[in-house]
Amino acid sequence: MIQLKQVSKSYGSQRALAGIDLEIPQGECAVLIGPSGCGKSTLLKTINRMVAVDGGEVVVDGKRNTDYAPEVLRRQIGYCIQGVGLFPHFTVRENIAVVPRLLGWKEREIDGRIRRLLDMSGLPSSYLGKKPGQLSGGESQRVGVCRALAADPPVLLMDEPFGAVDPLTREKLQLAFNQIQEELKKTVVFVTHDVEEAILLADRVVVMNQGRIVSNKAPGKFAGLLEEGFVKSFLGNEYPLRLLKRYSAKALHLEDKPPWTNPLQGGAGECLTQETNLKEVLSEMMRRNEQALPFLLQDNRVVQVEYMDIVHHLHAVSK
Amino acid sequence: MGAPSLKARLGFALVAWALVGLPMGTFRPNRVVRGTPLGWDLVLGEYAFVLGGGLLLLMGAYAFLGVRKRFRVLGAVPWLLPLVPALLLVRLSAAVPLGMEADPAVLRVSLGAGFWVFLAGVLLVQSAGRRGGWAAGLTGCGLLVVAVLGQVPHLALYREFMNVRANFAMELRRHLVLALVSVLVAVVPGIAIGYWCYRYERAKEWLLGAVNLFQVIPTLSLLGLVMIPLTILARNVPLAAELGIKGIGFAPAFLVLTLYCLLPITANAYAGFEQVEEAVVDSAAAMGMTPRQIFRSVLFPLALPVIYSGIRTAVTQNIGNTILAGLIGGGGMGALIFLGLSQSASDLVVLGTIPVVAMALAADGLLKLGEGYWTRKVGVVDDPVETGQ
Repeated sequence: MIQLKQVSKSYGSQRALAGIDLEIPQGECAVLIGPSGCGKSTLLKTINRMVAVDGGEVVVDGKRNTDYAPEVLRRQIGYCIQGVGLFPHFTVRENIAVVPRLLGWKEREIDGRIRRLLDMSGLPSSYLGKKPGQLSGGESQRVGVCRALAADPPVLLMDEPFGAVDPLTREKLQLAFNQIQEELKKTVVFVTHDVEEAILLADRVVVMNQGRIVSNKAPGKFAGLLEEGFVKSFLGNEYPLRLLKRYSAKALHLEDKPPWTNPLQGGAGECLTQETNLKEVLSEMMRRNEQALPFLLQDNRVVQVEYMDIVHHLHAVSK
Repeated sequence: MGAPSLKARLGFALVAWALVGLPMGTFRPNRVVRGTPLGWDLVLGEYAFVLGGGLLLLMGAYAFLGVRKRFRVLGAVPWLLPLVPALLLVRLSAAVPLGMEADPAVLRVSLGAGFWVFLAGVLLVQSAGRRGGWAAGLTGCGLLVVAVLGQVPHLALYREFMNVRANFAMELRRHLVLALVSVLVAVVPGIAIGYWCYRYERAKEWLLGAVNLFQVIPTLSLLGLVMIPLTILARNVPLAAELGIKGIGFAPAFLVLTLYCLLPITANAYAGFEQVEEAVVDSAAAMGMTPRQIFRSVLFPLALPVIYSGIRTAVTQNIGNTILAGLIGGGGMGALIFLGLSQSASDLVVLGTIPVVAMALAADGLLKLGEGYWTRKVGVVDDPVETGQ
C-alpha cells in the first residue's frame, strides 16, 4: 500500500532521512518510533508530501505520490497530529466535515458519516454544535481522529496524536483506536516516542535513529533484538515486561489449561477473566503471592494459569 | 467595572482643582485686546458657593463612597452630570466682569484652563461608572446642543465658528473623507503585505522594513518627500495633471496618509496570521486544502480580530494625522487649525481641534462595538481550555 524507496531528505547540512526503504502492507499499522530528531515525523510527512523528498520516491497505492496534485493526494490520506489542530472557529461537525466537503460530498451523506464516526469514537451527538475550545483534551483528540477518518481514507497518518493528554485518557484513546482499527483495517503510519504505545498499537514497530531504520519487526518478535546497541538501549531492558500488556490471557489458550484444583476462598470473584492482559495477570500473582491463578472461562470452567505459562508464551512469540 | 475607582477620585480631584484654583475663562471686549480672567464665582453668580459646593459634595461622595454596596444609589451620579458642563458654558457666555463695558456684538469669552480641567474631571468621573462611555457621550452632546440652540452667543468658539461656518461643514466632510478613504485604500494592500510577510520569510524583512520606514519618517518630511515626485509627475504626464494629481493639495495628502496607515494594518495582519496555531494551518494543508482555501477559511477568519484592531488603530491615528493635510492645501480641519495658528487665534485652533478629537473618539468607539461583533461572528471561543492541552 505504501512503499518508500531510498527516500532521503536534508535540511541544510542536517540529514533528516538517509535513504529509507520501507513497505507497509494494506491494513497494517506501522509505528515509527525513535528519539526526537530521528526523522520519524519527517518520514511521516513525506507520505502526504507535507515534506518534499530530496531523493527516492514514495509510492501510495501503486502510484508515485508526486503523480498526484498535493491537494488530491492529501484528501485521500487521513491526518491527525499532536495538538490536534482542530479549527477553533468551526464547530465539531464542521471540523469533521472538512475533507468530505472538499471532496464534494452531499450534506446528507456527510451527516450519516459523521453520525457513524461519533458512534465509533464514543462521543455523544450533542457535541456536534460545540466549538473545540469547549472540549477537553481527550475529547478533541477523538474529534481529531474522526476528522482524519471522515472521508474514509484508505491511509491514515498519525503524528503523536495522543502525546498531549494525560496517561489515563491516553490509554482510553489507545483502546478506542485499537477497536476502530480492528473494524476499519486502515493502513496506518503512527509516530510516537512512547515504547508502550508502540507495543499496544503496532502491527510492526519501526525503530529509527539518525535518519535510518534500525529495526522493523512485529512488536512481539524481540528475540535477538535486544542484544545490540541502540535498539536495546531505546526499547529498554524491560521490553518483554512491557510487551505483556499487548496480550490478553486469551492468548495463552486457556481452554487447554488444567482445571483449578484448590478450593476458591473468595468464590468466583477470585477468578480472573480471559480479557485480563498479561501484565495485570503478572501483577496479580505478585499481589497474591501465588505462582498460579484461577481463570473463569465462558463455559464456567475454572482453569489454572501458572507463571511459567506467561514466560513460555513470550518466548514462543518472540521468535 | 461597576464600582467607581481611582478614575472617579482623579476626576473629582480635577473638578475640585478647576473650581478652586483655575480661571474658567477669559473675557475680552473684542478679538484683539488682552482679556480679563473669569473666576467660577463670577460665572455662577450669587449661588456660586452653594452650587459649586453641592457639586463637589456629590462627586466626592460618589468617588469615595460609591464603592460601597450601601451607597449604591450614588451610582446615579454620573448620569446627573451631563448637563452641568453645558450649563456652565451658558453661564460663561453670559458672564461680564464687574465694571467692564463692552459691545455685545464683539465681546467674546474664551474658555480657560478651568473649564477644560473641569470638563476632563466630569468625563473621568462619568467614565468610571457603569456604561460610563455613554454618560460621557451624553455630556458631549449636551455641549453641542447648547451651542446649536444658540445659547452661547458670546463664546469665542461660537464666534469663530460663525466666521468660518461657510467652510466648516465642507472642511469637516473633507477631513472625514480624506481620513477614512485613505485607510480604506490601505486595507487590502496592508493585509496582502502582511500575508506575504507571513508566507515568505525572505519577504518579511524587506516588506516590514519598508513599511516601518514610512512610519519612522516624520509625517511632515514624508509630505515634503512626496510632493517632489508628484510635482514632476504632474508636469510631465498631462493625464496625471488632468486627474488632479499635483504636488500640493489632495493627492500628496492622500498618498502620505495611505502610506502611514500601512504600518498598523500590515503589522497587525502579520501578527494576526502569525498567532494562528501552526498545528491548525498544518492540518488544513494536510487535509488537502489549497493555499487559497487555507487563507479564506482558516487563516483570515482566525486572524480577523487582530487585523480588525489594526484597522481601528489606523483609523484613529489617521483622523489625527489628517490635520497635516491642511498644511499642503489638502483641506480638512487642519486648514482651520493652521489658519488659527497663523493668526494667533487660539480659539480658532481649538475650534478646529475639537471635531478631530470627537471624530477620533467616536470612530474608536464605533469600531470597538464592531470588534465584539466580528469576534463573535468568527466564533473563536475565549476559553482557557485550549485545544489539545
